[in-house]
Amino acid sequence: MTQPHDPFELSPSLNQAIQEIAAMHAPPESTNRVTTAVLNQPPVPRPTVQRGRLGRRTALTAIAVSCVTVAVGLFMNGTPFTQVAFADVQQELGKTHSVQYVESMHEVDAQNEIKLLKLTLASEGLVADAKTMKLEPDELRQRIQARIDDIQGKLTRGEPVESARVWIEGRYLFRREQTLGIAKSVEVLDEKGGSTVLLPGMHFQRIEITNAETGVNVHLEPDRKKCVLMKSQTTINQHSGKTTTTEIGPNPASNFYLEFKNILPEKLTSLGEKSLNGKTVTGFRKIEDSGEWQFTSTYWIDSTTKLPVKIESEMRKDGVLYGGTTIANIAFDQTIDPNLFSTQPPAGYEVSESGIHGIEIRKSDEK
Amino acid sequence: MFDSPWDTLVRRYSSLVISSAWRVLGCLADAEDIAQDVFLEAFRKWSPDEQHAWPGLLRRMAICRALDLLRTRQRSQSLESSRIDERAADPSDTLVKQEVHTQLRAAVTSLPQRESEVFCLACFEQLSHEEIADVLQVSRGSVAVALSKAKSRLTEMFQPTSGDSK
Repeated sequence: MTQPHDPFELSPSLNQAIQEIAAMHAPPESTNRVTTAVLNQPPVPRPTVQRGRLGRRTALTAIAVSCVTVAVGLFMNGTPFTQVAFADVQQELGKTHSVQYVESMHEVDAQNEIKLLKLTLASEGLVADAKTMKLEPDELRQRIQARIDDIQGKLTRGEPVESARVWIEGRYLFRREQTLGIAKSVEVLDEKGGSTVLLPGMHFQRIEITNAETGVNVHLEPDRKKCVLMKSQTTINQHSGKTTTTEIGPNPASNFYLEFKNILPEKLTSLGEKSLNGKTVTGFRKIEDSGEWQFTSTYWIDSTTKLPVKIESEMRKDGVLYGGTTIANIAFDQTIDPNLFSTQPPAGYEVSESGIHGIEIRKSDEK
Repeated sequence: MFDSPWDTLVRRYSSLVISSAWRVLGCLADAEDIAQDVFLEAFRKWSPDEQHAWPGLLRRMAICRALDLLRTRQRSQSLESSRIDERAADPSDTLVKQEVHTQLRAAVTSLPQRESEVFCLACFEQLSHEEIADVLQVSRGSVAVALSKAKSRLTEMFQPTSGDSK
């Protein structure tokens, strides 16, 4: 069939420009860069502050960032028209000495994990993965299916799919334990150019301990008996691709309580009161719109104690829900074993230092 | 070793997605960012059990996102103040060529959404009317009309201003 006659012919120079533009094809190194970035990291949403062409935010960083984002709400001001004013919440929080809570992944994130697990089940690479893990393929399939069933069961029953436990003591000590079920094969690079392949069905545990007063930050991996002393932090400029490394040291600014107080109270909207697990709670909501991403945090405050009991966060892009977290089981001033905050490498652990913090850099990406 | 259906899709079409975004944006680094966003969005639509016309869908997603990015950047810029004079310099000059490309891209982003999409698919991606109709899920007649309107507007935008001499 012939195309309809087009009465609007463009000028020769514009036609030439169109032909030149049409002839543009992505160079192989660019294709490799994008393919690597997309495939080597779990496809989780990224915040705009972490945006960069060299690498995606990892699931681990995603959870850590959302934890900080959500925890910020612990100390935000309240608004009028509610029975609990934020000033009261802030004051009550200021009297506490420690807090611990459980963080759960959003249903959307859980559904994505299921989706990835199903993809892995259908993958031809599963047999090779099983061989590497010294398992029979059927055994690996059963293990993956068990994880799918576990998540689906929890979602059906309305139970949270736990992702992390956090302890904060005395304003400076922080411990975070997270166990991630690996949904698909992921290659993790280390600073020496080596790599570890995380295989589906594995449970990958990571513990982060920070002493903000002394500036010591360690990452423990009990499964592999590894202890990484984080000596510096590397960030990547998304426009220039250049990396900047800063030493990690004592930093009072990383004191959670101090940071949270700096949030502007006028950004809160009152949600009124409701009943939650037999308690009367007052809700506050904060919406941050970066233009591309919208972050919503909802804080439920016990109307009697004026302390938070539940914090929900969601990330949306153009109105589409991308994921989030829920903080619950919040307990203040419980006795916490001091050993949980020890930054000494445990006996039997292989100790190394790292200058890379949650960002994957490959030599081919360096400018 | 690790190629799942999803991996295969990413490997097969990443070049196509980057190229489509690059043609609209003219900046490879931005195109790479857009490509990552496109695959992130595609992953959310992805299901091993569902069939999509992925090349067309990915191409359209890349173009739409690239146009959105350009529009955001050019909101404060007046096209009227930056008309190009096609006779002002030797068109073989690389800088002039780049300027023509830039102005053309700016003009395309100023078109209505549907017309700019159709123009990019027809002219930059060199798809036939039938292929565009499939991608956009519209009739071939609608594609032809949108393309004619787009070219009409572009012709008008690139006409010399009244004060110009021949």
